[in-house]
Amino acid sequence: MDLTQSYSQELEPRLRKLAIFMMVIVGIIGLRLYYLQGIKGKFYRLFSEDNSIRENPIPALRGIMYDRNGVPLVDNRAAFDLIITPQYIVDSKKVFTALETYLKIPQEKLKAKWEGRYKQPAYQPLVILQDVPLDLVSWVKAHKSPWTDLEQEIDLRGVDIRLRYERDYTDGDIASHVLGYVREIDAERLQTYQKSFPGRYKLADQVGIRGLEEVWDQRIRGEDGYSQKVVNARGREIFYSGVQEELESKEALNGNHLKLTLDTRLHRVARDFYKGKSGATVAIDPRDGAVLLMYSAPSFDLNRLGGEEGNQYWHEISTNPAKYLLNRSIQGAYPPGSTYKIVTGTAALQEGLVKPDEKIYCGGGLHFGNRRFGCWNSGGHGPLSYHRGLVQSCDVYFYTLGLRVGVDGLARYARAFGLGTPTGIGLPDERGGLIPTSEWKLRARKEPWQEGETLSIAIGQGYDLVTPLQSALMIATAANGGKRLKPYLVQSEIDAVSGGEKIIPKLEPEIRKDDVVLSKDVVKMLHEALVGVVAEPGGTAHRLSVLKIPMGGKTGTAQVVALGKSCAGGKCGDHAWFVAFAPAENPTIAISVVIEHGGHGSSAAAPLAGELIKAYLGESNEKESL
Amino acid sequence: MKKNLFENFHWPLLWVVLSLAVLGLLNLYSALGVWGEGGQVDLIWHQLAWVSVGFILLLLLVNMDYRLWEKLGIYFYVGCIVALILVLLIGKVVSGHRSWLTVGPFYVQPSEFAKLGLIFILAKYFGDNPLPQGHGFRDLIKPLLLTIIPFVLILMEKDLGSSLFFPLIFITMAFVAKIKKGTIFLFLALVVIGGGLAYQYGLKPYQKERIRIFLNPESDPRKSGYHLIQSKIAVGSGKIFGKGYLKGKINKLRYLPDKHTDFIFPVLAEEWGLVGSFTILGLYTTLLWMGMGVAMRAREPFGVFLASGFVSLLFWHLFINVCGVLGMIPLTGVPLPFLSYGGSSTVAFLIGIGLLFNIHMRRFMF
Repeated sequence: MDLTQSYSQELEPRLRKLAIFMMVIVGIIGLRLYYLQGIKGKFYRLFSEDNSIRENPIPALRGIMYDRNGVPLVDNRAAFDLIITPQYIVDSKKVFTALETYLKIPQEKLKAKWEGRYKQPAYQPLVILQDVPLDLVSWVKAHKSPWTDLEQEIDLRGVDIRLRYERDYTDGDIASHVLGYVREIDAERLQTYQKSFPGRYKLADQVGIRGLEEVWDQRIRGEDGYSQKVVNARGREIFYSGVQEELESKEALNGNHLKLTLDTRLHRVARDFYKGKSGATVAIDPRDGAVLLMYSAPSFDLNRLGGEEGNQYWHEISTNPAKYLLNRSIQGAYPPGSTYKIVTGTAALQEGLVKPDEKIYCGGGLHFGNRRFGCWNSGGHGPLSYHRGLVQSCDVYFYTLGLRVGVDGLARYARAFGLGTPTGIGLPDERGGLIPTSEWKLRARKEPWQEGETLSIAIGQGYDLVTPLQSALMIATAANGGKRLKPYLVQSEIDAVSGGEKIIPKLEPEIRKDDVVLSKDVVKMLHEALVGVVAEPGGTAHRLSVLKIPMGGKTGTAQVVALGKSCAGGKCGDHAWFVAFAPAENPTIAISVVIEHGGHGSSAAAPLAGELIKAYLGESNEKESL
Repeated sequence: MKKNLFENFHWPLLWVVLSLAVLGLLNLYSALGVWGEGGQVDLIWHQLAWVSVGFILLLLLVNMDYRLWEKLGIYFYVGCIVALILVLLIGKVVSGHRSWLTVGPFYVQPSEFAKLGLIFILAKYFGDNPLPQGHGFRDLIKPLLLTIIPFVLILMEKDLGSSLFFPLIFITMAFVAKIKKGTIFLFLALVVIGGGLAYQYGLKPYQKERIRIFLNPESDPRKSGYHLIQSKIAVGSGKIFGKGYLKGKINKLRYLPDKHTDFIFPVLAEEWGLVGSFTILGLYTTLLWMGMGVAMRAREPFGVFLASGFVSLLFWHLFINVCGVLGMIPLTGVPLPFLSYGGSSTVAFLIGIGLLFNIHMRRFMF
């Protein structure tokens, strides 16, 4: 016994060591716990919330865009999607059979969606059909019963109808370019937007692209709300009273509506007129620059961009050589042709380089250098003063004036009419056109200006390029007594919550110190001559006088330089121009029309201007009489 | 004599064990329930039954002189080996391990009892063979063989976690019995080489994966490292005071796997915070401390080895389980004494505690 007792005493130092070893390990575990729970606790708490709480977005309604008369150009429409939520599906085979038998949805499609859902949480619905018709919606609602009944043939537990909103257009093709469209945001845009507007854009958001939808996106998109839900590790949504109360939700804030300056009626007239043609037309109110019409042809149908066939349609229009997506009214730059004589005449008069009654003889052409510059009327106009020179659009008269003014003088007056620089209308990718100066030529072409080129640009050929919007601005300036304008599209913003209307302050055109101020007297003479173009026999647009509406106008036929390419498909016919205003006294509408390869301005373009004026003034008259 | 015995009863040890058992049941109740779905709350009754059985056995053992096990131990050990062989032949497979024997309506996991069996037999061996100058390799061959038999049988069940305890118990008890310095290094070399070979050829891909995950858990959170990350999130998110009983999100929303067995500790840490996990850790520490005290005060070697062997079994369970779920060592599915669900382990641990009481009571017997 003594031996064993001494043996067990002999064991004691190692027992002590073992005990100490255990305590050290336990101490390390304690430190680890303190690190995880004490020091990093906050960090892990965030993680645990992140783990289990999902946010369910509540989409905000995008603002409506109304035309000047309160007619909605873009509205929202309820669209119903057929969805299935895997979490609530009890018997997938039964569900699929029912959907195939009664809704004619092929099983393969259902199975593909069902099997493609892996790695997706069970609470996340699968969209089976987008934008389904109402009878399908009512069928689902009628056959869905919440209770379990094995005998029942149709089991729709897990099948649901989900409401969402889509852009809706009464006329999808009348103002596509101005309005733009709405699509899911792409990675590149998301990156830029997240930098510029932190917190307002996230993946899979719908975003405005091109046109007003893009420019005004932040104002009209509203703010999505959310409702939180608790999701377990299997991806099922959990309803549990203790947790439910902690969840937060935020209502969606709908986007503001916009009241535009556009007139739906004019857009319809333009759309109907341009069938099969390409070109653009712009109408503005010459009193303040409100854009009444901005139409580009060929146009595309915004209603067809959504839905199942949307991508196919999109592919068609974006690859078509006719350039459906180009907004020609601000992105198409054309030689202005004879409409530019407005600038040339005004420049010569105001600079005192020609007297209004000075007669210049037209013999059907003008020799300059060793070249003959012809008049469109090869027979010659005879001696012409300013008034008749413009009415009959005599080339020789304006060659002469152009030579007197010179290239740089013309450019200064072109600027006074709003040509040569972007108008700043507030749409993406507006082009500025081109009004040449001698300095420009030296810089861009490394050659000095040739006097002969002045003759070409004096009648709107050669280097001159203008957009239809700039042309509309030019004729509006002629109509309003010479006041420069800045065109605008949005009148007011209507608050979605309060309904209050906020007028958008109008911007002033950018006027430089050395810009020409047009003289009232000169513009008055111009105004009279433009009225004469329609009113007087021999005027190039005299045909419009049958409308019995006093108006002013100017035709233009812009030669297309073929540049050695083949002229197949009528692609090298002249562009037809017409600019006009009405009524003659105190005009309320100024219009530019260009028809690509349309031929003569008087025959091809003027009729549309006539129809637009008739529609616009007729409507106004009716409104006033009401 | 009897009166004298109960005067020496280790009451503080009883309070510690009872506290652990009660807290364990409360925590297990929370771990068994999930939000929004049924869960396995009924299992709490099973566990309660096992705890009761365990305490009855504990009381029986308190009244039975532990020295009887010097003779009975060998039968217990052999019985366990037979049961382990039976498991391999007719065992029931639960979650990938063939570890269970069906006894009437119960599933019994012989590996849990085999640990006690090994402690008995090693305690007897080292008690009978004192070597004050230390055991050399030659002296250890017999106990090593006794260890390797159950170890290999349990490895064949593919239960890596349980098998680890056999070499650990052997090393701990041999250390207490004193090993020669050279032999220690020989063992270390054997472990390193054996471990390397085992990793290369012996481990299943999923076991290698576990080791890889341990080294870098964030590498693939959705798949393999997921469990460890969720475990750390559960523990950490409990912060100082916890989220409240029955309010642990990671637990209740099933982000934690096997939360009633291997991951029971994160459940507690999430709901009770640092306060709770320190309380439990404190109780374990007290238990280990008291257990080692019992071993030191035992008057004859068998009692010393029996007590220290069992305390080291508790300690290694605590170490492997808690350090695993806290991301300090690779995850191996082993139960946490008194907290994890499981009949066999609960009963086996309470038997061991009964032995501790008995050794303590009889320390003045000679």
